[in-house]
Amino acid sequence: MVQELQSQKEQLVVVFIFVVVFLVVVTIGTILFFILSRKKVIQKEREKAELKIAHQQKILQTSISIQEEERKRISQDLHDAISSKLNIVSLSTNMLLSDRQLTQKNKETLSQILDITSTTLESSRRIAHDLLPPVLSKFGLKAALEELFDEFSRNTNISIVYQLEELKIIETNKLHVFRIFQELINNAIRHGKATEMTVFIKYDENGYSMRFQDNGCGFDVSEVNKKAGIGLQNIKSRVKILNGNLIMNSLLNKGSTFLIEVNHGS
Amino acid sequence: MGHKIKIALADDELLFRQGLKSILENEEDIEVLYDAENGSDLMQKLKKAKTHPDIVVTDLKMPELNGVEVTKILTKEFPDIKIIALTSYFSKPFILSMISIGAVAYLAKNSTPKLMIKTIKEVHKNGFYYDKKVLQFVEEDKENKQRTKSSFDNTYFTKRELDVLNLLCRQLNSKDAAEQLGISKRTVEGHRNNLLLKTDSKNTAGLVIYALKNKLINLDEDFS
Repeated sequence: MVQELQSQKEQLVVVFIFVVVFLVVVTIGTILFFILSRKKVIQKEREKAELKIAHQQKILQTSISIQEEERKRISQDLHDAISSKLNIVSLSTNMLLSDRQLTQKNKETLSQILDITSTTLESSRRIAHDLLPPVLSKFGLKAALEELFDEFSRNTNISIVYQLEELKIIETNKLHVFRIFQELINNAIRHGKATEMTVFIKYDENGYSMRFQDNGCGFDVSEVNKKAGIGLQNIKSRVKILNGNLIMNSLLNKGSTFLIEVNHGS
Repeated sequence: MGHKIKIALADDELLFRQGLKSILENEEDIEVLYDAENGSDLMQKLKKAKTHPDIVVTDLKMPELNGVEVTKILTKEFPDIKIIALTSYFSKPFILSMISIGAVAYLAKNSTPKLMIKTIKEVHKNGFYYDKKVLQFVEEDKENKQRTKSSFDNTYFTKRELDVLNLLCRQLNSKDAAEQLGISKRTVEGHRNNLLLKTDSKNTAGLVIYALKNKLINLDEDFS
């Protein structure tokens, strides 16, 4: 009797243990299942987000390229359709003016035409230049950057000191480098109120490095990384197009430094 | 008759070319040998012709072969021919680059006929003609080149000066630099003045470039 009871009790315990183990296994299994599937969902979502960012980057880069093509076209058209024709007007007017039999009144009118033509020519030249500096395609990046720095420092108290080497890279990339510095200087002056800037460009067989430093009021790098303005966003996209790496360093009231490095292999 | 100045013109705008031609031909001592609609047209005519011009007046922006390329080829293949560039760009790097590849004078496309003729005659007489602005650019460039030539080795600076230079390049002001080096602000400023003098710089920006150029600091300095 006692033995029977004992064995019944033992059986009960075994069943109980079995049930407990079963329950534990099921619970752990369910929890694991949830954790794993959650992980999978998160990973999927992250991949989706990354894809979205990559896609946005691509769109941005494409729109930058299209924008540059448009600028080129407009500046070309400005020259072909307006400037070169105005040069003819100017020349013809000059020829008419050299006629000695002109009345004073005719002379005045012709001079006026000449004046207006000259101002319009100058405007057209300036607009075309702002769209795409012709010095870039004719004499390369170094001359174009020198011109850009001169334009900023001429007649202002802004000083840009530079040491440049010509970059042996394709034309469209030269334009991107040019735009990056245009933007960096603009930012430094407009937001940083900088008065002194340095530009250093080094080129060798491995690649090239570009360093920009200003004495402006600086910015919070992590803040800017989270939410970059249009100007900086533009710079970042262009650095991406160059297949380069951008490092920013800045402290409030301590100016800022930008380093862009590009390897030829990348 | 043999003393006429012989000219060749290149411009892609027909009317402009004809206008310029008639202006020049009104002058007694100028003769336009031929005119071309672009660079390669000019080169072809030059190679075929028996008489070569004394002066080529060329537009810079032309299809096929532009004025810059033409100037480069001409100075190599026909070094006796003087080149006058017609353009609307007058920035310093543009003019200096044009001169460096061989142009001897610079004319705006909307200059007066008087100035055009004067330029041609001056070029014929002296081999070149720079107006005030161009002359100023050339002078400035010469000064710059002389200045950047002088470079010193590291021993030229004292250890302390190099310390100060390093900190200044990292955007520290005199006060912060003084604190870090444990010296007075005035001493730092003294070092700074010495550095400016020795490197012939006007400001800290100049110092940074000097330091980078002479590898006194690294490109990625300030990025630690």
